[in-house]
Amino acid sequence: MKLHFRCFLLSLLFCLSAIAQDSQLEQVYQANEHYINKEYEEAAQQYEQVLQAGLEAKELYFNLGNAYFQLNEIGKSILNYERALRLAPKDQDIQLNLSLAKRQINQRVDDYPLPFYITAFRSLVNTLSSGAWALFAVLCIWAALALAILYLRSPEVKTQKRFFSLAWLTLALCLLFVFLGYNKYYWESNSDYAILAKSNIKATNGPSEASKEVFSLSEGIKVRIVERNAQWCKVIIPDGREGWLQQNQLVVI
Amino acid sequence: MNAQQVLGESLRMHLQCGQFRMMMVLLFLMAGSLSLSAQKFTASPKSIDASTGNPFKITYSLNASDLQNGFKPPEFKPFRIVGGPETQTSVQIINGATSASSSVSYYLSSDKTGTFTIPGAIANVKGKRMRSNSIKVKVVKGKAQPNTSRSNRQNNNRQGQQQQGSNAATSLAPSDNYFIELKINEDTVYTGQQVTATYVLYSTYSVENLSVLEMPHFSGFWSEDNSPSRPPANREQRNGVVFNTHILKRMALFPQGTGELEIEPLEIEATILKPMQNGGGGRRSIFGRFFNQQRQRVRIKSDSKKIKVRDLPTEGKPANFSGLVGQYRLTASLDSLKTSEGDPVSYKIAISGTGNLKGTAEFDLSFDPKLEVFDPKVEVESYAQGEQIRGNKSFEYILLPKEAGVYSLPKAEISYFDPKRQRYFNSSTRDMRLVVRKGDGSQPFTVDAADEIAGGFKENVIGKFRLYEKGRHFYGSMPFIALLSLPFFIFPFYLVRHRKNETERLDVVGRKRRAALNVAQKRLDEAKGLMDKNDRKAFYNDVVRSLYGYITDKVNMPLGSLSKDNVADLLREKGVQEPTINKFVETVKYCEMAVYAPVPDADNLKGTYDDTLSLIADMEDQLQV
Repeated sequence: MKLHFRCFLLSLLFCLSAIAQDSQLEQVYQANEHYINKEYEEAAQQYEQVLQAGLEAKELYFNLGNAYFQLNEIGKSILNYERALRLAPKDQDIQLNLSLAKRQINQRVDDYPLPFYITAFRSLVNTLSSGAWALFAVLCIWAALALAILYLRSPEVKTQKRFFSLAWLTLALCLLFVFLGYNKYYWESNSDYAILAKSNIKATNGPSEASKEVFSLSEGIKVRIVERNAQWCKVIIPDGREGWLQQNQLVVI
Repeated sequence: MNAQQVLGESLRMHLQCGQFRMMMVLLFLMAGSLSLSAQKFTASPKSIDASTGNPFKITYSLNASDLQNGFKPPEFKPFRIVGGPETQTSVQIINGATSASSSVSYYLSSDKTGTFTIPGAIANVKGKRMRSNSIKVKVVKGKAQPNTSRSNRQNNNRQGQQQQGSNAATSLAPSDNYFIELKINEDTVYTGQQVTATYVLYSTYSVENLSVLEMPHFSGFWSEDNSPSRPPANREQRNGVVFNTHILKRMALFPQGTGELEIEPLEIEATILKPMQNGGGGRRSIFGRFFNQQRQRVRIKSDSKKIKVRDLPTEGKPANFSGLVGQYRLTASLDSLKTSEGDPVSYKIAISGTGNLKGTAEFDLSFDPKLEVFDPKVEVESYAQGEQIRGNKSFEYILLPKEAGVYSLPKAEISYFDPKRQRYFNSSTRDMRLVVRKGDGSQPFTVDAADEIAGGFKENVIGKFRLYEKGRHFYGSMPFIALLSLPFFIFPFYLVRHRKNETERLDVVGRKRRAALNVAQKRLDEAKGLMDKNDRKAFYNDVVRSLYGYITDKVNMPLGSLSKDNVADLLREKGVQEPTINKFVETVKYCEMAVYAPVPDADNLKGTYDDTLSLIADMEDQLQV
């Protein structure tokens, strides 16, 4: 009885979300029309509404980023490209447009190089989405189960050996996928990075108005948040310098 | 011919260095160079090549004025002192600072050959004892010169007036005492390959007032004067005679044609100072000393040399070969890799290497039309590295980017022939890219401009796609965890079942035992069929077989091993009660008999069947296995 009720609730939820999707998709199409007609402001507004409804897609962020780019709102454009990249880190179009947008920033802060193993690991984790990693993990664990059963059932020692090692291999693969998927999942759901939303922001050496200014940053620069409190957060800019910014001066990716 | 006079002057000084008679004192020069510093007491030169009979000079100098007090010369053995000591003191006032220097010179001669060391001299300066360095002297056998004795010279000095030798130039055949030798480093070369020709004057006398009468034309060559700026003071021994040598001219020649080319001779006129045999002549030097020597104006001409010039091999000659011979490297550089619109950058292409670079043609580079290019500034520099002529030639292009974008700059290429490795080589510059940003007077970034950067801005909207709920992930969701963990529950269940099956499968005895009743039943069923057909013989056979088969299955024994004799013991062992055993034995006996012989009540097949059934049922109860 209880199970039936839950099933019903779930299907209802799906129905509702499908309805929501339909109306949101309609809005997306309208926004696309606006974009094509070079009414970038309207397009951006409508995309933003879809996002506010709690839906997302890398294409949506990409389109919105483009709209802001055309409006010359580089900070917002970069923010949306970064968000799109979070969903699809290897998308070349997004990367290209992001790099073009970054050229528009007046201030250049060079990325400081990461050690090769970190970049290699990141690139490995980014090859698939967390969902795909999870799917692979599930497939692997079931394959491992099947192989274990085959191992038990096989009459010959030779095939037994083969199934035995294959079962362990798939189990190990499953663990690897779970691990990679976890990393990916973490990056998808938590972001330590933020984009500066305003121009000419002064970073200070402490979390208060009275603190001394250490450097200033222009709109669109990506920073890493290392510490936060109610109003302030401590950030590291790509070249390694640290400073405190007010929370409302930046938007988390 | 000012240059030639300078040349002659320096030559004269050099050649006199070993000669006793001139006694040109350069002390003030030495002293001057030693001034202003902390006190130094040195002997110079540090090492001398001398020949027997030819005196040489050594000098002790101190950068203080009072050398005479407390100066103690060393023992000059085995040399004889033929002149000196001469003392010289100079005081200089520069910007109000006074510096003084003084020196003592000796003229020494040796009759013995070998290598000797003159120990350092001792000076007392302001109460401090100082010791100079020692001097190494190498003496070889020289030409005997009769009038080098001190007494003789002093006699001559008193004779006073200098007598000029014959001033008329007399052309002399290359004599044993002086000649010019033309040396070339190679006699067979490729077109464009460097040949070094060196004219060296050999002389046993002092030579002064040199002037070149005939300068070779070096026709057929591209030539560059590579004479050393300060000819090294050399002595060379030929047939046991020590000559002073002097490089008159060193030329780097690059043959332009092919075939046999002649390097022409060099002719000079010079005054040689010949020692007088009879002490008849003399000359007053600026220092007031008189010498006994004869001056003679002579012409000296070198020989000429022929070299063979080969044409460059046609094999492997690149299409763009423009006649460069030597070893070269081509480099390109940008003064900055990034610039913005209207901000010029300089693109420099440089050839450097060994060989003749002056004739190299300019590059024909085609730049992107969006870069404004000015005519290149060409700089050629050539210098000598030893005997080799090296050069740098650079072309500096100023690029003025008109529009933002990424431009790849044209590559320059040269090919050259390397005569050492006898092969053609190519050298080209590497790929260079120039990134041009929008200028600072920034109008909004236009898509047009962006298009040019790395393939262009992707401005298309993506029409069709699915929307996802934010923050919904399969990873970490309930279904994921369920799907992932389910196998871990399934597997133990399966394992337990499998183990059970396996033990059962492996337990053949148990299976047989459990199946024994069924098997017996089946046999009895068959027997029943035979009973219905009234086939007595077969019926009794089957009953016996079913009874024995039941027992053997039950206790796991081969069928043939049972007999009437041992079955009773076996059953007793397995806990079957006596009456049942008896009944079993009876039944078997009766049936076996019934097969072969007529037995009473033989037709009662039904009774036997029922008995057997009850017997098996009894045994099933009582058998303990």
